[in-house]
Amino acid sequence: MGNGEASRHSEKEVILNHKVIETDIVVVGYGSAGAAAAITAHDKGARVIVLEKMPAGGGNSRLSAAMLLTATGPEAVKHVEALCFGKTSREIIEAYVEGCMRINDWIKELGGETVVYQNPVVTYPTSGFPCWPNVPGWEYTELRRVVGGGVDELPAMPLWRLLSDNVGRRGIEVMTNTPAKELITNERGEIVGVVAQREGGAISIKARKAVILACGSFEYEEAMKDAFLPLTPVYAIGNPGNTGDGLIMAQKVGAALWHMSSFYGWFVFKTPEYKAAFTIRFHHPSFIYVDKNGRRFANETGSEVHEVSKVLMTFVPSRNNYPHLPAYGIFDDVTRRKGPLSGIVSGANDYKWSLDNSKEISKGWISQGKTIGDLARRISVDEAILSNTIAKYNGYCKVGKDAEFDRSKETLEPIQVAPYYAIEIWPGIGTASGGPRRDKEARVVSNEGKPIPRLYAAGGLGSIWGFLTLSGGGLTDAIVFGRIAGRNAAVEEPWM
Amino acid sequence: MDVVPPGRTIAQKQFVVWADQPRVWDLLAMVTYQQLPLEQVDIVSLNRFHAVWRWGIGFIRFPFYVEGKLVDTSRPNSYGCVILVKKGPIRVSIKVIMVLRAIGEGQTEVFCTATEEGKRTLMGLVLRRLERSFALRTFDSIGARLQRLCS
Repeated sequence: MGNGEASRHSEKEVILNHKVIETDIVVVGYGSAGAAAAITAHDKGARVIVLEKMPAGGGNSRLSAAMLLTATGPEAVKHVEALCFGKTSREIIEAYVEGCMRINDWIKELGGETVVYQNPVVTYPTSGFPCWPNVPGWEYTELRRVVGGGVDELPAMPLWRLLSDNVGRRGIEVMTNTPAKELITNERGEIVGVVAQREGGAISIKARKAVILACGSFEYEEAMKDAFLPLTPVYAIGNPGNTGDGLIMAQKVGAALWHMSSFYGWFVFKTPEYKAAFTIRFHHPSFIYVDKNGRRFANETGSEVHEVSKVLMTFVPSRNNYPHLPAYGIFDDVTRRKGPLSGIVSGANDYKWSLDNSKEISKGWISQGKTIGDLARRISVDEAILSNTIAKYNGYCKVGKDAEFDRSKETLEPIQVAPYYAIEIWPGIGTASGGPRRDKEARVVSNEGKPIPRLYAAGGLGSIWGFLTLSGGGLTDAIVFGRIAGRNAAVEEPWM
Repeated sequence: MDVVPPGRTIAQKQFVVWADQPRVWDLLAMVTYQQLPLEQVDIVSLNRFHAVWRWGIGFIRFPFYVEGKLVDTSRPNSYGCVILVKKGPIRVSIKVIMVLRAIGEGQTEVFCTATEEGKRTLMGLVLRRLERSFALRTFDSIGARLQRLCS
């Protein structure tokens, strides 16, 4: 993963062979990070072109719950630092928290309004706030959302509309269906443009000031997931455009990498009929998870929703592979009737999950049994073990104490109303944190630890989250570092 | 936050829970959702949901369409929602507010109020007793569950 001198496009070669456009700053990727970068750079006086490979912008942000993690004081650094497990330097975290303290004002400047988010209903795994109440410093964080949004509209639309309207209002050019392919360097090793694919041909965009990579990570690139993530398979749920393009481009110009094994997501159900996996959450607590042998393996309601997949990574030396996979969500008819197992954050597929889960039962996605034994046979799990697991769990519900996994007593509801159901669950990935290492100025750093001149990164491509994350953390990473990148790129001296 | 919101009061209930206020608030959101006899809950936006409520006598159950919106909710002081119940010509809008107050060492008082919103109609009068009994039953079950969890 070195300099890739031979495969790089030189400035001269590009100018000779391609149609050339000139601007001050090229932003690669049009999600929240790209939009924030473009708006900020434009407002600092730079001319900006945004490239987006997909037919429309929004990226992962548009499919998210659109929570904004905001900070109410610099003491929030302590909280973020603890969640990063030493994988992100303090000065970067300080820059992030400072940005989080200003997000609300910026949203107002753009004409939006935010309110503190409160859960209307509680689903499991929970996404309540604070996400990590046992980690110090959470008192200085807040979860906010942008006001607005219609019924049956994706939750992120108020934020995305605000950002894209502001991009449009400023006349910033957004070129959709235009994937960036390669960074252009000059003889001084500066990043001076981008080669992109457009309408069947290549175009070159010369960037007088800088290039900002904001094109997401590698959730849909199987080889990269296999190479970097700690377990496999991990099914993607977000924007199908996230195929590691930015990572490849950054590697070719010598970028150092970070947080490659870190990812956050949900438990998911995957069927070959759909490209993205479906996130799975239960509307009622009469459910448990069991492994492929029919045994419980975790406190089902004890993990922060973005980190729930970590409980599937257990390796047992005496057993082959990951002993929990595939896992099953086992639930009764009360939970089945309470609400759809998928649909809160799962917008990548053009599919509406039925409200009572009946359509998915008839499709065979959800297995149904008149008795626990019947259900066990249908999912090929040992009948006696599964029956025993559920009997034990129901016993814990009766006494209000989970002796095995210490599930909180308010979530102990027995599985007792037939028929019974099972859905196969796998680890899902919303965002891979891996990508080019950046510094507190959002500059991409080389393997030698120096900033690569005129190259910036923001958002999911090399997120600051190195181990754990929390609700709203990814989205604010995009906005905060998008803004930092835009601000710094705009004041670069033009190279030509 | 007023303990009794404007509107025609249908039902009120007050109970004390042996836990501190933030803990009770956190449980309240969870318990309320568990205790409400709603089905097919569709979270249609970050503060709104649609659902089906089955009501009837014996084995006969009629589905009513419910639209819920979270209002006046602020941790750890209050939790509330407006619920619009619809079926044919029936339209009933009820606002439920639960106000929390610390009343001593590790104790929290929860004051629940259900008020009817909108114009008073003949149908509304007929349904008043049903609304009242439903609200009181729900408040009772929420209170009992909270007290059991915090005992």
